Amino acid sequence: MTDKSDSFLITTPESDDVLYYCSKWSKEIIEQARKKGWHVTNLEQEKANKTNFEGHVKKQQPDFVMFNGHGMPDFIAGHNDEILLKKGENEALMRGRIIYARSCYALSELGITCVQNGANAFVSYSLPFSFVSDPNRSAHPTKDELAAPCMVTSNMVPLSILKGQNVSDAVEKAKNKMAELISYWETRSDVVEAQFVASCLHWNKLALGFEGDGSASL
Amino acid sequence: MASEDEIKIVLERLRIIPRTVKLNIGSYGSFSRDRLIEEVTNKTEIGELVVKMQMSYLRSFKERVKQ
Repeated sequence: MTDKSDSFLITTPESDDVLYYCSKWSKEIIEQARKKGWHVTNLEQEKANKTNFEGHVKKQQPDFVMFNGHGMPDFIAGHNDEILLKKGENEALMRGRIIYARSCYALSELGITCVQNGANAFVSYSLPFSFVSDPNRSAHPTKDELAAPCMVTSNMVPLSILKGQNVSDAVEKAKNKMAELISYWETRSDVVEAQFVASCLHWNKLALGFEGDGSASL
Repeated sequence: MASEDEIKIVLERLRIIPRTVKLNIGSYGSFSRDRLIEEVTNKTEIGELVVKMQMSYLRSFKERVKQ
């Protein structure tokens, strides 16, 4: 087992359209982390499996773990929906770490048990994470104007944490940006889908939250 | 359970967006406009969720307009 030293673990499975978008939008986070000198391990595509995940956590002892993966109240999955972290099974692996899960529902049960098992803080969504997308842009998700508001605001949490902000401030900053973008999108008359974008931002704002120590930082 | 009025409101909102646009709801997947209309009309789990999402937004919008 190595010493804990500015290590960041992220999962970026791409086994369906939703995950593909989340993965592509995660590049910004990975680039920022590397620029700031973090040792980044990206479990991409089929590498986002349970064996790799558990092995890397044990070996690298990451300070910060970010999941892109489908979730339910009691688990978060990786490639092809293989369960990576499950309540009552391996949440003790998160002891001493800050976690951000871009996953549906994970905050409601898994977040609580991770903190009960020693995680410093667990940031995620208590409802399904949602966004609108334009299929004409599906080959280039980061150029999809309809997806951008939800992706940019959900990226703000890990980007703020990597900059050294505490968990509570990172969540508040993202929620403030969501509120600002809701106002912007619901007054746009040039885009027919604008109110749907605003409704997804509203939903994500309701769902985003954290368990554990809000003053925790990297 | 969504009321008939809520379902009507959400269906009208869905009908104005382009057919090609997709609503991505995390673990549930990606849905076209027509599929969403079908889910809401048939009162499926996804349909109920979409009504809940849209009505939550509309209530929040109404509150903000009041202020």
